[in-house]
Amino acid sequence: MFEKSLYDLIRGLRAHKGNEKAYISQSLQECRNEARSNDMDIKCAAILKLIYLEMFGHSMAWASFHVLEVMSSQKFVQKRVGYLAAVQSFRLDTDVLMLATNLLKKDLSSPNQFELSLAINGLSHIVSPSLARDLTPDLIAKMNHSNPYIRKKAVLVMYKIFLQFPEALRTSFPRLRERLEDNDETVVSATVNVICELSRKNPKNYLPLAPQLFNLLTKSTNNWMTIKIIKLFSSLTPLEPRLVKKLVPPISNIIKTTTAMSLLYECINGLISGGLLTHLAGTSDGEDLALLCVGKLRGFLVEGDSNLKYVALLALTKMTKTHGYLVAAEKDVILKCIDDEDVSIGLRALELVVGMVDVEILQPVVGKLLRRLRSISSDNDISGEVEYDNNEVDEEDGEVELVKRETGPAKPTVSLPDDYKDGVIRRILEMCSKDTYANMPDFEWYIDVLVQLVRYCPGETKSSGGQSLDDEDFEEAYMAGGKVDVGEEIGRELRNVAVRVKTVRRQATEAAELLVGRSSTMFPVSGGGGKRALLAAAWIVGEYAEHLRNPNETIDSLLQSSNASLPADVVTTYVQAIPKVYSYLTSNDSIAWTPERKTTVSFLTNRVVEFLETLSSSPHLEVQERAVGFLEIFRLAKEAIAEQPANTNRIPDEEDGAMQEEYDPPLILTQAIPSLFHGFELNPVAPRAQRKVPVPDTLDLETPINPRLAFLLSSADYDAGVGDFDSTAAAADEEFEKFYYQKPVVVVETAAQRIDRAASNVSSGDKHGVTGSYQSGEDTYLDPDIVARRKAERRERNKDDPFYIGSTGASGRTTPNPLGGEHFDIDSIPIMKLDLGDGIGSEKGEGNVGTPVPRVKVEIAGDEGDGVDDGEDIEPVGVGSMRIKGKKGKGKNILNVDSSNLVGFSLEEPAEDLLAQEEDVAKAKKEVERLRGEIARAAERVRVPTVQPIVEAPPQAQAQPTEVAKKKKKKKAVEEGDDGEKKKVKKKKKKEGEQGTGDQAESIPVVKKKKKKRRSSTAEAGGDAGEDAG
Amino acid sequence: MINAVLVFNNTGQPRLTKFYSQIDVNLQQRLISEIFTLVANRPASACNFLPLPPLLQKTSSEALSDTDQPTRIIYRHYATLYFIIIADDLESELGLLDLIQVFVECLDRIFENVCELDLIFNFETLHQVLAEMIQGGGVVEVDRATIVESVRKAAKVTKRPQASLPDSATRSASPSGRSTPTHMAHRGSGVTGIGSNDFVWSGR
Repeated sequence: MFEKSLYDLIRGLRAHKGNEKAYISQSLQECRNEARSNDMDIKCAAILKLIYLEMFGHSMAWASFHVLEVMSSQKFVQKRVGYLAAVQSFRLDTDVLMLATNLLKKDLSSPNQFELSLAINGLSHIVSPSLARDLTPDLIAKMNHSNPYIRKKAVLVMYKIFLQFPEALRTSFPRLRERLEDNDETVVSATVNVICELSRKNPKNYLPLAPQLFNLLTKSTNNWMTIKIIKLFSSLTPLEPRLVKKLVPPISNIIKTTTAMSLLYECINGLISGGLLTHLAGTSDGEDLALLCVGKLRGFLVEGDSNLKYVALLALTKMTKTHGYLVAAEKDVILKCIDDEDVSIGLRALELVVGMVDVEILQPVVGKLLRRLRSISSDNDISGEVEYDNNEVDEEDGEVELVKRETGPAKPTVSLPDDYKDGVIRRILEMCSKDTYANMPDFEWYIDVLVQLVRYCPGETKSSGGQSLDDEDFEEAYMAGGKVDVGEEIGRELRNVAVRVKTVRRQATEAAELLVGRSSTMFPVSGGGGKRALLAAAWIVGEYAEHLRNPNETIDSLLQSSNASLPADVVTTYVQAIPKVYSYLTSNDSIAWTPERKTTVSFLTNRVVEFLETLSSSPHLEVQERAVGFLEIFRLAKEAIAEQPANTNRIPDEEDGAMQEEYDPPLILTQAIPSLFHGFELNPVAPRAQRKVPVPDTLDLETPINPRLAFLLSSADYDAGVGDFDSTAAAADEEFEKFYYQKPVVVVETAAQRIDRAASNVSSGDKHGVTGSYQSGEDTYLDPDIVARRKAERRERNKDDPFYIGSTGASGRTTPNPLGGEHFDIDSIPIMKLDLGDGIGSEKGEGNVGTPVPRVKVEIAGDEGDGVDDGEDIEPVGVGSMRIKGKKGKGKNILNVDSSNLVGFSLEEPAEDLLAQEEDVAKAKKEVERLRGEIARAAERVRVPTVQPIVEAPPQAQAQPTEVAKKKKKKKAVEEGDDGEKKKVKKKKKKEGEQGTGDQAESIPVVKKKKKKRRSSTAEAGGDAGEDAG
Repeated sequence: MINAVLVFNNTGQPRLTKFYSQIDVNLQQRLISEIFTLVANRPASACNFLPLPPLLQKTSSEALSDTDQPTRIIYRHYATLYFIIIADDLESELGLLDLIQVFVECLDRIFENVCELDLIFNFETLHQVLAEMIQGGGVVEVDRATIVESVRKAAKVTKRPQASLPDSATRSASPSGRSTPTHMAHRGSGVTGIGSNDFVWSGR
């Protein structure tokens, strides 16, 4: 059969464009057969083809044995193919590797320098711990080879040996050190390279080399080596600060004189990363040097070569830590780089700029970046443009931007990668929010920027998709380094501004309104990022509903049925926002309750109910729960509205409506629902504020809150019922009320109270005292004996119940009773209120956790972010989350070299180590001896088959006194010296040779499987001896 | 340490893969394709440094402990081919750029006006040149003349016993066997040579 050569294979591949797969699998099959061929040429050609195919991802691990065969070929050409195959395909766990020892030994002693170099190069890839151990002596010898061609390779391969077998470092280090004085520069360079690698693992071993290296540094003309020496020194200087003074003159000399940019850059880099500049900071030398560096780097930036720009920016970034002011002086050139066509340069520059922004340049810089982003995504935000043209963002630098806009699309816009957009947006946010908006000149502008940024958001990343993150989860994700969606990040900023900066709250709310209002057009269901900005937008819209430009439209867009398809956590905030806006729309009791009003309101209520109904079967638990909760309230409201005739002042709930004005809207709208949301003003709180709240000593989470919960619940219901029905005894629709009062008892309980309270004092002005009296008044509704009994009972039960007490404090509802707990008769609140505190107060509770804000309407002190109550640990959410940028939780490093062996490996052998090693050696020798003995015995047995049965075991062997004696002798011989061993081995070889089991001298590890193991061990021993002899 | 040297063409077809740490073949392919997508989208004016592809990105724990991470990917684009070096931060970025240049120049000297087809059909020679320059991740030689000479000398060694060898075994191995590929190049699909004009290198 005709065999394909590699050439044929490649041509074939080119001829079979389109169905290469079939061709390749056919070829692979052929290779399989050919590799088994006895003709070495065919075998070799097959291997070569396999190497070629391996490049395309077709593993040739199965062929490792054939590779070994080819490696051991006599012909250099074939050997070379074999080695190449080994280099490309062998792994540490390739099992034929252990058979390669002898072959490598042989090739390492080849007189042909190319064979020798082939073996060394091969070894540098395939070396395993055992190979390293066995071949170290040979390689150490090669480090003194007469030919520098071999010396440099031998030196370089030593690093790979050390990685696998650190002990070799101790034995070979003196010789390695000698190579620093080699008369061939490439050998010195290779040596420096090895020491440089080693020094990073444990620099203190190599401090003694400093004088030699310093010498090299001053004399060297080889830039490659100089670079390496500088890298090497930068790992040494932290350990030996005295080196710094010595190094400065030669390095600054190089910086001044060299024409090689790479060397120049590495010198500067070495100065920075070696801590030289840090060490010298403050001294005039240090300043001069730093100035020199910055000057050179500036040259890089100006020159126009993008590579130089890139590295210069890298170096400048590192320099900011020590010489920030010098770097800041180069602001002009750095800012130019932001605009660089090359996005990686742009990002680098941006990274630098983030550290340099101040009030003046913030707006221009952000303007630049926005323009950049605009040119990227100019095609898909036309709708938004119109709206925002009349806004600050354009007024700020409108002219420049207009010019840009015209030229922008004309340029062939390269589609910029999403991560670039992502990075830029995050940087903008970081810049703006830095130090709690210390550099922010104009918040209205910032809000506009934020809205603009939402449009530039890159497509959604899968990682942070619809997952809902409540604060706890968020904190976890934050700790774990999870990446927050950039849209969410923007939203957070918007919310931050809305909460922190009261003066622009209206603008922020309007911006949020815009986002919510245009959500369907701005965030198409498929693709289009930034959707998660809605999370915060919806919250703002709800929380600050009073600032909405057009609340009717907003609630319209909140109620759009398509919203149900938004991410679950966004829908959750929607569900939460809807009642807030609704309440804002309907609670105004100064609007006459005309039939029209009634119709509008009931229409709206219907819509809300409908929307919530669709969500009440949502698969997302959170959405469902909230939807169901609010649904009940709205059904109630719907009833109430229906019950409430327009133009009347008769209230179904209230008999004593004497104080009611004409056309009163139902109280559930004007009082009950708003009461759910009017709480304390929300203040920004540091992310970890919760942790600062001391755990009360009395807090006991172990014991059940109340063993008699069930009873309590029912009695609470009863209690509530009594309270209500006492006051509304004459109400006609008891049945209906009861129906509703039972399920959402919690909420309605408040509602009822509200209604009660409203009934007793309509105007909101007179909160004081009246409520108190109302509270006591409630008691009067109850029979005195019941009240007394219940009070006593409850007091008894809840005496030690922190949760109970806490709930009154933290429920933070708008009890318009500023006196809070003392006057508010806690005993009269059914225990069910706990839920209420949780459900309604959750956000607000959290908002206030850091500091118990005592008053409802407290101005946030210093609204530009100073509103953080938490004194020390100011960590605004927006900024905090920026810290996690750039980290990704996944992705294992595949190209990693495992150098853990060398980390901290000392050159000086610890005493115990020596002992242990000796022990190991002795053990190994014993083992070798044992095997040898067995072989010898086996051989003898074969010769005299009648003496011993073939099936023999070591214990049996011991029974033979002569054997034991022999063994002992052997051991002794080994300890005496190599000569004895050599002889013995040779003897044995002879014996085996007589058996005709193969030619020992060749020692090809290709033998019949049966005897493989034994043979290889003998072969190894043989090789050892041979080497020693030679 | 240099972690890998890769050569692939404008369509992402590998022409040389050399990994100085042992990784799985499938991972190699994934890495190549990730780097290819990164590199293929870059405008010609962009700098020659690539961000790390997802496969190579550090995990936060690793970033703290390990210093042997590959941190830089340097590439150069010649006619139809991308030359890529992945290295850690003990190598100099600009130096590696030069190294790629040296590599290509050496190939050009050996093949005389090298083109992609030369590399396809002589991929073993490609490996030899690389081995003369980089061994096990460390740079052994950067002098063009020395590299070329070593490769040529080694080729002569192969020729000495060659008299007794059938031609097929050596053809692909020896640089002198490139007559056929050259024909291919003339005949071939208009592959533009990586002409020596490209080698005018401002030098640094």
